[in-house]
Amino acid sequence: MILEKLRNNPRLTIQLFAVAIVLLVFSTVLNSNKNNSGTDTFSGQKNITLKVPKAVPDSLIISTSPIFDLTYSVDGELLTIKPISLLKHQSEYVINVKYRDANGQDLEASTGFLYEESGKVADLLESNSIHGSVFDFSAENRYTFLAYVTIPDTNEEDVRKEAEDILRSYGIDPNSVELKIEYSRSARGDGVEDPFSPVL
Amino acid sequence: MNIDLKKISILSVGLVVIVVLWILLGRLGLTTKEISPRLVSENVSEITSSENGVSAYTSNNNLHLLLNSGEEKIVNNFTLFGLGLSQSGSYLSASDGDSCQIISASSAEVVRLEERCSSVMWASDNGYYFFRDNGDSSEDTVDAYGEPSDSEDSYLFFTNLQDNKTSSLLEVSIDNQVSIDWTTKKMLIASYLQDASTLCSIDESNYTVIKDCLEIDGVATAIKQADKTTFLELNKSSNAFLAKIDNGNIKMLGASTDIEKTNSTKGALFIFDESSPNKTSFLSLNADGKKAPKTNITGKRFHGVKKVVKVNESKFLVLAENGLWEVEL
Repeated sequence: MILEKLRNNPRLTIQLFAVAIVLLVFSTVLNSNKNNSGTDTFSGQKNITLKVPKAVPDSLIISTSPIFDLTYSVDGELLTIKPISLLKHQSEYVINVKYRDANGQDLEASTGFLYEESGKVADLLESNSIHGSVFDFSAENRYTFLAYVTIPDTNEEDVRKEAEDILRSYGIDPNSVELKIEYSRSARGDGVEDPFSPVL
Repeated sequence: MNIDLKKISILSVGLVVIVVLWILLGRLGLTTKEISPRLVSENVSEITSSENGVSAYTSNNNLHLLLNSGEEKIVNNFTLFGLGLSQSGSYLSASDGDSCQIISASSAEVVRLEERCSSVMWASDNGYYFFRDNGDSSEDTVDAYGEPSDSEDSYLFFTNLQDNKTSSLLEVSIDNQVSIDWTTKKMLIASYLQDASTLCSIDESNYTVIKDCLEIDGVATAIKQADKTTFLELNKSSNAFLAKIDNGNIKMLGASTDIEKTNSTKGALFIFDESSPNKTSFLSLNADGKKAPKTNITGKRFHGVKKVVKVNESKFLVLAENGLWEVEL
């Protein structure tokens, strides 16, 4: 029935066809943006690509410095590497690839990139610490944040609430990250005794 | 121009339906499974598991034995390390650095103490495997042919708990790495100097214990099994690569990671993708290589995975930097 309607209405058919083409182009562009890389700096889920002409896939030896876990695939001449472990913000990474090509030649390729986090979490990682009312707040990595309490007799729940507010102000959901609360020696009350305190 | 409108109509409708369904399914989250891990404990040092759902971990100098009945046993002041469980989870092996101990999982009592035991050891339901730097020339020690052994070299031994006989299995040099896997009943002996490995079957009914060895080109240091597929960790240029044994040949799987960070379900090996900003994805590697992520782990999440052990076909314990987590995939 739909086909009959479309047959009787060529204009609608052409419009639908155009919509389909636009949607297909849109999804293809989205997908290629997701997988494209090769730039010097990258963040988030982007991949790294290297040309490995005529590489025999089982001969690939990929080494990274510093070491990180990865998955890789070879499509034609292109080797795509996806990091699967958490990379360190503003760190330089080098990837070396040794492989044997179809002609039996031993070849090498290498590339490097600077890893940078995206979004507001990058601001937190770049700032040494933020001063809360009774604690210093800092990011260890994208998932781990530290509230370092420096004032004695501080309630942990109050610290947690304030630290969570700081996270929210950076657009981070406190429930999806780890918040560590540590107390300095003086805050714990077991610091060095005051040399000027009177001896009873 | 002669345009076949019927064909264009069918093509258009088909394309529109496919694209709309694809977008809708993605929006509704039907193409992925969302799961939340449960934090079992913080400050966990080590974790191990058996083949039938018994697992054990150490936390704050306490040993936690999670039995397959759901019962949890806690042994206080437990300072040993190098935990291992036998096939059925009946015995636990651990070391204090000088001696190795075999502990009964049911009573939590030490059933055997092996002095001068170096490095790791493995508990088996029938006995235990251990390394010793100096040869044991006692009358109870026999070599691979059942003869008394007087070796002074570093050897891997097996002691049978039924008859208390100790067999010397193989000489181990400093560049060797030995690992035992109960799922496959295999022993891997890797040689970094020779860039080669040997994969042998284990038969504890015989004094020789090791049989049917397969030579492997490359340094294979760990092994895991998923259904009928055997997966290996191959070490090259300081990196660990995942591979599978395919009719005696090694096939690379397209991932570089420690096999301890992986486990198996539904016939495939899986690893956790921790690189995405707000979620931990689950990647499965099957015989054809990498598959697209299908499971997202949401909410409070683990990071810095060190080891993944299987409790049952769908439940796993994940030891990460921020604690021990239970994940139901």
